[in-house]
Amino acid sequence: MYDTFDEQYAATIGIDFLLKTMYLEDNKTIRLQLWDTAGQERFRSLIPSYIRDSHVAVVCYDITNKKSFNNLDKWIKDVKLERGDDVIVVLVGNKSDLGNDKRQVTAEDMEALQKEVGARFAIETSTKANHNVKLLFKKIAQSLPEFGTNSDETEHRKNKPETIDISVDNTETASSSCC
Amino acid sequence: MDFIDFDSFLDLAKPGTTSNLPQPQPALSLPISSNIETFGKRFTNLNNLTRNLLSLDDKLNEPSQPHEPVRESELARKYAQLSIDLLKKQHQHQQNGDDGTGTDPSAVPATTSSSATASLSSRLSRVFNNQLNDSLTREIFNTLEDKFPETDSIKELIEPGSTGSLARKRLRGKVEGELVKNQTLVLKEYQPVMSQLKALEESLSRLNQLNESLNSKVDKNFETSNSFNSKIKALTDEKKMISLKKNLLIGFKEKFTLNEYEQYVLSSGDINDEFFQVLKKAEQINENCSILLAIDNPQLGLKIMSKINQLINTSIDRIISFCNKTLSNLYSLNSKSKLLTLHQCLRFLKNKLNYFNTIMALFTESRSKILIDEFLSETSTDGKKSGDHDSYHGGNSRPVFISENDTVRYIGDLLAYVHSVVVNETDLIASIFTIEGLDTQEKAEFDQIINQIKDEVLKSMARPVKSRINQVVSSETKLLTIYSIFNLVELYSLMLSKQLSSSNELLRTINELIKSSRDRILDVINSRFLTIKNSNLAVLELNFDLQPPEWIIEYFADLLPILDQIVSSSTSTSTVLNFNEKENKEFLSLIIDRPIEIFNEHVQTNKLFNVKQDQLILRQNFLDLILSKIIPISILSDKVLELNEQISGLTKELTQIQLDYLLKGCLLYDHFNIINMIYPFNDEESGDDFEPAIYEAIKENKLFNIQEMAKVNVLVQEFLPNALLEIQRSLLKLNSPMVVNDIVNDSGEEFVKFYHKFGLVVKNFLDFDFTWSQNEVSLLLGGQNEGVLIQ
Ligand SMILES: Nc1nc2c(ncn2[C@@H]2O[C@H](COP(=O)(O)OP(=O)(O)OP(=O)(O)O)[C@@H](O)[C@H]2O)c(=O)[nH]1
Ligand SMILES: [Mg+2]
Repeated sequence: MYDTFDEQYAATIGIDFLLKTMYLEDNKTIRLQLWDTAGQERFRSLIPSYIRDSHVAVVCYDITNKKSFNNLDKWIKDVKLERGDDVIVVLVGNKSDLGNDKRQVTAEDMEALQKEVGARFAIETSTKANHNVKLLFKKIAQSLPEFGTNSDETEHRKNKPETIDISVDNTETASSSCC
Repeated sequence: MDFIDFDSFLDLAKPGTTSNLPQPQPALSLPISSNIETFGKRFTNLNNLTRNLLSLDDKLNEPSQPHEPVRESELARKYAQLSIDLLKKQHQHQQNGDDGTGTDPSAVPATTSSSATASLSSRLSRVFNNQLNDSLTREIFNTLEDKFPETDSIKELIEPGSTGSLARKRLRGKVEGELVKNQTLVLKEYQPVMSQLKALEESLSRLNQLNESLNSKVDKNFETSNSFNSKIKALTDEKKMISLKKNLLIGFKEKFTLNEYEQYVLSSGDINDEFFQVLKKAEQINENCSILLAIDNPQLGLKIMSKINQLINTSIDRIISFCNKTLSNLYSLNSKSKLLTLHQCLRFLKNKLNYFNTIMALFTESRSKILIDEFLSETSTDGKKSGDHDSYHGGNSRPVFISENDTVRYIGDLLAYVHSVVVNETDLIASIFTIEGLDTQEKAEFDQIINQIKDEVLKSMARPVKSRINQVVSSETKLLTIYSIFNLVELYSLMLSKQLSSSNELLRTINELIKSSRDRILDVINSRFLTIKNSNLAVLELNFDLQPPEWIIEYFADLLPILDQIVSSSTSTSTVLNFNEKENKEFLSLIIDRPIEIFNEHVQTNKLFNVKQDQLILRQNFLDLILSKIIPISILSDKVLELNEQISGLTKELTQIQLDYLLKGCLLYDHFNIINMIYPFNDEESGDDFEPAIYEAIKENKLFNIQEMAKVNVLVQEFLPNALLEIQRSLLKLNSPMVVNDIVNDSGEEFVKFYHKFGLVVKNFLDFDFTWSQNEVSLLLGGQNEGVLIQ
């Protein structure tokens, strides 16, 4: 989410924040307020407070780590607990660059889960190879309710959507949200 | 020059001539004057001629002849006058010589007579002073003879009287006729030239006339053109001056005035690039005015300055109102051009600090107000949400409700809200006040301004946040809840420190909240202890089952989860709750030592426990409970050690009680004391090298005799077989089996050791043997240490 990639793992402390202005076709701009939540258990209690006011939850797992995928349930439950069905859930399988030799979660697994939890869409990305990252945010922007109806700048400032970016991270070096 | 001479002759012929004397030939008149005089005459003539030639007057055409006679006669008169003067002088001299008197009437006649003489003498001198030499004279006469051959007439000629005179007159007539003839001939030659000259004269005179008229015309023209020229010159000079003035004025205008359009731009035009250009110019003019102020009359400078100042002030007012208007309506800043204009305004105002600060103050004030209003409505405890604000959260944010059962969540939501306000406000302020295209210095200045505004705006949140959280914290009594709040606040302090500088009031407040929630933890613990300490119930709760009181169990039930969390969350720090070393120590002492203290007090004050062993067991059980709770907690390892020490101290005391019980039961208590008084046993001597002889002093004891020893021997065999059971029974209420074991073993071991050594002493001095060996006794008392003892 910072348009950079760092091989070094630096665990997110608490909640990181980023404002991202996106320019879409038709001269529409949209400002995304991104909260990058830490995956570590000890920060978990912070997250609900951010889900409260968010429109989209991007739930990430590591395709080379089955456990991180299995944990998604727990995170999605947290999201739904806060927002009910009034939220867009997006599944992201990260580290697709390692897809060939270390893959533990298949695309089918992902699609199945998407159906099961009613996620808006699911996508595999690689922040390392910068693959699908832009597309991810574009799709997020397009899936927002405000988008398409009134998307001039003023409206968006007012109805600024917030995006929760939940990193599922049990293995300390597992998934990623460094987009 | 002969003609000139001839002229003089003509002169004589004139009837007005005073001289009546006969003159034979005109040539004779010439030589009379001396050469020098002639020369002078000629010279004057020459001079005259030159003068005439040089002068442009029309005398040029005048024939010189008519003048000659005048001159001639004048000359004659002059000479005559000279002669007369001379005579006068002589006469005067004579008179002077006679009587020396001035003027004499007789002088006048003398003068008349002398004048007659002078004219005669001059006439004579003319004859005698003839310049003609003899040959010339001869030639003349020859010529005369040739011409006039009548010889006889010569006689007539020289004849006096009238005949002579007649003859002479005839000759003279002849000669003159001849002369006239000759001269006529000569003159005739000149006639054509004359006529030519005459013809020329006319054209010449015409030419002259023309010339003259031309000259006069030229003169006239010259005069007119001259005056014209001078006029022109004056005009050009004037023109030059005027254009200079004009340029000066243009320059002045350029430097010191604004044209109407520019004034219009400043006073009511749009605020845009042009506006700022003009404004810059106006300021430049103001600056330039310092030059005007320096001149003798500063009036002009003052006037211009006041006018320009007025304009500048109007412009500044307009800029300020633009800024204020724009900043109060942030939606308008979505227009890029508005934002750019705002940036221009800000850059302009930046050097006018008071204006700039006013704007910033107004902006921060309005932002602050919005933030506070929003915060209050978002976090209102009654859950009512007031009207639509310029909210970040749009319409569908849900207010942060305080919930009875989840204060931690409330604080979490509240802080998350603060977090989002901080990041959004940071972004907002940065987007408004980040100006592109600044040089590094200006950029640094604006960065600083951004930080200032940010700090100032967010400062407004500090108080409400503080009061909200403090309100919750201070009314909360559950340790775990407070601790969770503490954790939250601490975490947010960490997160916010990424966005805010350490001097930021909000961050400082959050840090204060960390402290106050921590203090609250201490408060809660302290007050809890205070209540317990003063609680009679807690004292009464202690009874003969010797079990630790309920409160300590509850206390640990509350404390342990916190400690667990502290252990799991604090990875790096060695202290808890971010305390420093000393505070940490105090805190640990509070949570562990303080309850022990209180408990001990309670035990002391409770009259029930007058049996020491009960007290000890009670305390032992208490410590044992605490130990069991804190043993797994790494941060309390020091406390565990301390507790172990206390426990082993208690164990020793209990062991001693048991030992005493054994000794007393066997009537060995006094002996044990005496032996220890003489020389205490120690472990090293427990071996074979024990020397009973050193205890010789024991013989002085009355009880140290065979009979007593026999009694002891009997008692040992009666008492000991049940002693172990008895001891174990008395320690039944001691919770830690390990400690019980220790006590039993230690006391038994101690007793056996003494029994053995005392046996050796008795044998040495009384030559008496106890029936039971130490092994047998040891066996009876538990015997685990058998191996050690059989050495
Ligand atoms: N090969 C590969 N490695 C990745 C990719 N994305 C992230 N990583 C690595 O995974 C590690 C963790 O990435 P982070 O983004 O910090 O993980 P996180 O989920 O944010 O962790 P928390 O903040 O603790 O929740 C880092 O060492 C990254 O270099 C990817 O697409 N491919
Ligand atoms: Mg992270």
